[in-house]
Amino acid sequence: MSLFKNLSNGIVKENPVFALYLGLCSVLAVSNSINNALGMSVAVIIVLTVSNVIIAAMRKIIPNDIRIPVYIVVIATLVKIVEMLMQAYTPELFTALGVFIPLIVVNCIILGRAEAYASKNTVGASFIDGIGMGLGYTAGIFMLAAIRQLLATGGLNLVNPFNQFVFFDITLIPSEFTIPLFAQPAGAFITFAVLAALLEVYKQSGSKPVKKGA
Amino acid sequence: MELFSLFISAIFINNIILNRFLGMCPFMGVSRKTSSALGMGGAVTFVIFFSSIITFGLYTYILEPFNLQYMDLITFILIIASFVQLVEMIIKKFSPSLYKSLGIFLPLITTNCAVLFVALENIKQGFNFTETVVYALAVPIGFTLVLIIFSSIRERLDIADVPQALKGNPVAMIVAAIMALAFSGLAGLV
Amino acid sequence: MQFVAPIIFLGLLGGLYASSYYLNLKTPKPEGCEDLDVSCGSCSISSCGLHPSNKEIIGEVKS
Repeated sequence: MSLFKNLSNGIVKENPVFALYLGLCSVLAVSNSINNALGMSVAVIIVLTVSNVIIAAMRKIIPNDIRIPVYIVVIATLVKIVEMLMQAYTPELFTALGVFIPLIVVNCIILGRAEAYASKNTVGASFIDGIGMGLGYTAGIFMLAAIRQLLATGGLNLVNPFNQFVFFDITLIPSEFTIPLFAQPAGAFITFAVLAALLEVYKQSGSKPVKKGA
Repeated sequence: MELFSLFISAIFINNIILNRFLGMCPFMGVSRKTSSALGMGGAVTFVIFFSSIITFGLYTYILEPFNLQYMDLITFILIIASFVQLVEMIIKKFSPSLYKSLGIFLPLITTNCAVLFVALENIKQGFNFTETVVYALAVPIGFTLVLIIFSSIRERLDIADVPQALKGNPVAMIVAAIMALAFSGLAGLV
Repeated sequence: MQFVAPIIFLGLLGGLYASSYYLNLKTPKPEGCEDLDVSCGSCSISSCGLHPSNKEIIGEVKS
């Protein structure tokens, strides 16, 4: 039960994007289409989980003084490997995400979780925590991207990054009613603010029944 | 003239915070008082300027001749991090007043997206040395400018009557949205 | 052979960073330290040296 709680914690209560405000750089920039958002979040989940596992496995060997340099070397190597794999197998996604794949290295989520969790817990628990935080990141960036793409272009489309096979391509809003603002930076900020406020309302409404019961 | 347009566009049109969304993490945290915003801006300018020159030199004279271009990411992040540590050590030893105003922000800049972005972008755009210097100076000036404007707005926002759910970071994001709109009006400048 | 050069390079850079980090950790701050609030409360970057959760680790290294 506590494993599931750990997982759901990373998705809702401590959502790294909307509750902890970590990794904002990539979330805001990559959320212009759900294609890019899902590609980015898969890369983040892979790097987060593998780095959590490696650091948890090495946590007894790393001297306490220089743990941050070791974490950065591990994460940078992983990101470079993922970037080279993406360049080889998913070239269109690689060009679309551009400079934000190397910037996963300095994504506050990965270094933050390595420092706060993986350095103190077992390999299994760190693995689950990595998946939980990665899924929280995915949920956050996917919601942001879906809203932005829907309002800005009127439709959603999903393409298989390996062979460009189109999964679906639907148009929900006719093109006369789309709001191109949401494709621009200002729209990203506004959508993010509204979603963050909604999560805050949800968190506060969740704590009210406790007061009523007493 | 091209250098001038590079300079202006890096500050106003492709502003690193409002247009490229980089450097957001300290933007949310360190922008409550104008004095700390100035200190943060100064520290970021110093780090980006010198680390860009060092990483450019390293890439051109060591990584490229030996065909190690794929090591660029790891090299850059380790060089930036080492540079920040060395600078902090030097400031601690030689100037306590400078440490009080700038030095305390230095650990935060190591994992700032903006520093690594400038290092990578200099390579990706194929800048020569002068263009690297101009770009590495313009980007943090744009960062500092936005940070100062934002902190003076935020000082007033903290004592204003904001709805409970929007208090803190969400309303700061809305302010950033309005600023992004304002800056996007400068798009036709160069 | 072509694997050795990058690994040595990586080791050199990693060693440079680790040693500069360690030297920096050992250098004491001038008076006016513990002044480091800087409205850092809202920031959740726990890997930053100024985050409150890192204070006891830095304290035990110094002593």
